[in-house]
Amino acid sequence: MSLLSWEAALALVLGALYGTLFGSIPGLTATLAVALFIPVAFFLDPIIALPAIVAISSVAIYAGDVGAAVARIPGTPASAAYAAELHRVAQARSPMLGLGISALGSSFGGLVGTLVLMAGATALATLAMRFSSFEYFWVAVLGLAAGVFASGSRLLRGLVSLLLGLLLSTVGVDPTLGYVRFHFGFSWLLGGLDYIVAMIGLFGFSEVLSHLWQQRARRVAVPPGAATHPIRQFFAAPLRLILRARGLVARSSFLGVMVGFLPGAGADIGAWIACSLQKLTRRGPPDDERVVLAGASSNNAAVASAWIPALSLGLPGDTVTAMVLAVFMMKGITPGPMLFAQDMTLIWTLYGTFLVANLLLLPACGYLSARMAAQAVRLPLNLLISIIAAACLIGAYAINRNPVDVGVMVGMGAVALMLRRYGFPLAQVVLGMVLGPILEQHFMVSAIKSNWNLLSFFDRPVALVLMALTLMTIIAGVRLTRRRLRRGDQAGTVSPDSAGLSSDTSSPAGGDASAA
Amino acid sequence: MIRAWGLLLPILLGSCQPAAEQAWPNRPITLIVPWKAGGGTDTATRALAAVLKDELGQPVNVVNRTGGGGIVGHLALHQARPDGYTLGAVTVEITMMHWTGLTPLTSDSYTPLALVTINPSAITVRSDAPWQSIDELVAAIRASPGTITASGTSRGGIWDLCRIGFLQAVGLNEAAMPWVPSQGAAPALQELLAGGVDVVTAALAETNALRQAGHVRVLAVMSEQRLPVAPEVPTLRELGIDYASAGGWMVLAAPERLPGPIREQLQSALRRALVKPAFRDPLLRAGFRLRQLTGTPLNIFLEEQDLENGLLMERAGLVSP
Repeated sequence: MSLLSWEAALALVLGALYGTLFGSIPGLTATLAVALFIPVAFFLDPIIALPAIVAISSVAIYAGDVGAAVARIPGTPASAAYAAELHRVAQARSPMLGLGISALGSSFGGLVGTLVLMAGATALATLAMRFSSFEYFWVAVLGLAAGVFASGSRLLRGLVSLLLGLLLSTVGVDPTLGYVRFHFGFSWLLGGLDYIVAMIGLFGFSEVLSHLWQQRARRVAVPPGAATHPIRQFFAAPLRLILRARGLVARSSFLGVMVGFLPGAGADIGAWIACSLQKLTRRGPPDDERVVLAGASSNNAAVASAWIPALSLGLPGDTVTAMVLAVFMMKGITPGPMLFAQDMTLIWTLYGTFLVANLLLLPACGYLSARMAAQAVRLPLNLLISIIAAACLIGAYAINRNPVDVGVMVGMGAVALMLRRYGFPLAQVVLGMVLGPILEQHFMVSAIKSNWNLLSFFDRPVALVLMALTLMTIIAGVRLTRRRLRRGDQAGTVSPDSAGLSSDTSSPAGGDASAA
Repeated sequence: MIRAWGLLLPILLGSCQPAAEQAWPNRPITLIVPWKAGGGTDTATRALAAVLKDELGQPVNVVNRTGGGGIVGHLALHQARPDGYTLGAVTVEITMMHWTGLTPLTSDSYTPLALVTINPSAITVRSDAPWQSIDELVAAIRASPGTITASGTSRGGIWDLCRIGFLQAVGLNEAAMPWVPSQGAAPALQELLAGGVDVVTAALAETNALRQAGHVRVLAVMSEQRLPVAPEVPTLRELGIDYASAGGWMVLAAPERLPGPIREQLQSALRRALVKPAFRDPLLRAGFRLRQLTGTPLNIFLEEQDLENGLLMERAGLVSP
């Protein structure tokens, strides 16, 4: 059986549609979409199951941006990096345009990721093998630095949010030595706070709460260009932007690939670095469209490259590939060079699927979901809010099937309400929670390995390069931000996080933030 | 609409009632897995669910209840109703967690039904490491204690205990080959490849892909017999080191006080299910060991494991007073 068989093609299309529907609903995440499919995958022929997983994960990651465009609720920690910008584009111009940029950007990023996977899986896997805990530590630090500078001109607030996220990530049993921290005697806190659950609460449920708080039935201002020329807005305009910003797309996709292929580093870091690089190096006024383009392309480039260590070393890069390896195991497929030598049909099926998913399915499903999004923003706000509330509750429960997580989600929503009231960005909290455990664990492992000789962090050449990159990011970031502040160029970065479903002027939270 | 509900509601409620007059099982059965989807326990449980379904004539659904280092899922199974409709995977951690005082749960908190998999530890080194055999590795540790490091999971996890047991058997103390904690086998193998640690003691099922790819060398397995997936790798016993350990294992269990008739029915269904090729073949190929163990021998196995692991944890200074 091959990719050309109708069963495989059907699995691909159905997977893409399922991924689109699932990912588009704020609160339901791409990880959850794949997790729910796995029990089904165990019973399918791998040549059908794997294309379906590829289609689901490629499309669902993009579809998460629908929630960001409609309601500023990101689908993955990576898309949190540009959720505010995407929502602004959708509001100011049209959801079709915003999602068009995100879909075509994802498509290009995905293609770059696939080409790298095809051309250099084995070579890159060899490079990944050189990364020990020291290198991972510096990658995490680099991600944190990028996170601060992604908060635009308000560095201090971004830093505070990031530190809050890091603090929240220390709850529970510590990852290296097993000490229990901040559990206040509750056994349900031993496992720590799940960052997906926290993200749903911070972005999704806080929208619901802030609506309840204001208790005013408002209508969303329908963006001016929402209904006219959907095809031109979705395909033509973004394509022109991509052609104009070729370098940006290439750079961002490259970043996504480079961080994505490191097993366990979290594919999320790439998108953050890409977005913050775009914000730092831009000339002239802030350009939301380019930030979205940078983030979306690097986000999807990482999806394909996370398969590199999984296929060639049997080491999972993220949750999705961990599940793929379990399917392999059940089907008696052993990953590694043997797989490339013996089962080229499977490998080429995978490559073909990635190409089809990114070239055809992503734009097609993206267009469908963008049309839905364009309709969704016309829904009465009360209705939209109720749907979001329900999806948040379901999404938070379903990720671990732990009822306590629903409470955590609501609690994070309340925290987010306070943060937004005083103009602190939310995305950095999620980034802190994602990178906190990676940072801590690799620091501790490195320290234990070297008997607490902290100079060993500077011993290895790759680690030194990463450290230099981090320092350069920080120095360049501080200097550029300062220059920009002196010029008084703050337009657009004033209240990225206060603009919720409401327009800035009608919301008291927005007013406060821009005054601050 | 209301009329439709009037029709539907009795049906819905009826389906939820425990129909005492009908014989068990008359509705779907849930298997709780305390670990993430995609891990070894999850994979083995799903393979079991597929064959158990045919034996019981009811759908068998696998549900992952993760978090708290396995405590959440183990607790959920303990608190479930003992009606035979909620079963679950109980893993080696149940004989370890209570010693540290993290949870009061022990293997006595369940009705054990059958041993499903055994996942023995394998002593794995990089393929360019200087040690070709266990003897050479032991000699190197003896020559400069504390310089060769090992990893595989968190501190006090099962692969750490296997390391302590091995060191003890060759007459070395715990600090001779220090433990570098990791978040599981995959990150430990990454460290091994990158030269961050020298030895990994995780299961062969975890290292097998890298072994076949020629990136790592397995010096010995800690099981009592060689593993079918790697017949050329000797056991420690064969090499004259008197140590064998079950390593990681998984038992299918029900909550406490499961009625006797249901338990017997389940045990005989499991005995039939666990020998089916559809269950055995993929797991054997993946590097697991399978051993038939139910009833009293299983209870004895669990007690032995509890004592053995408790002793190793005490030696590692992990037992809370």
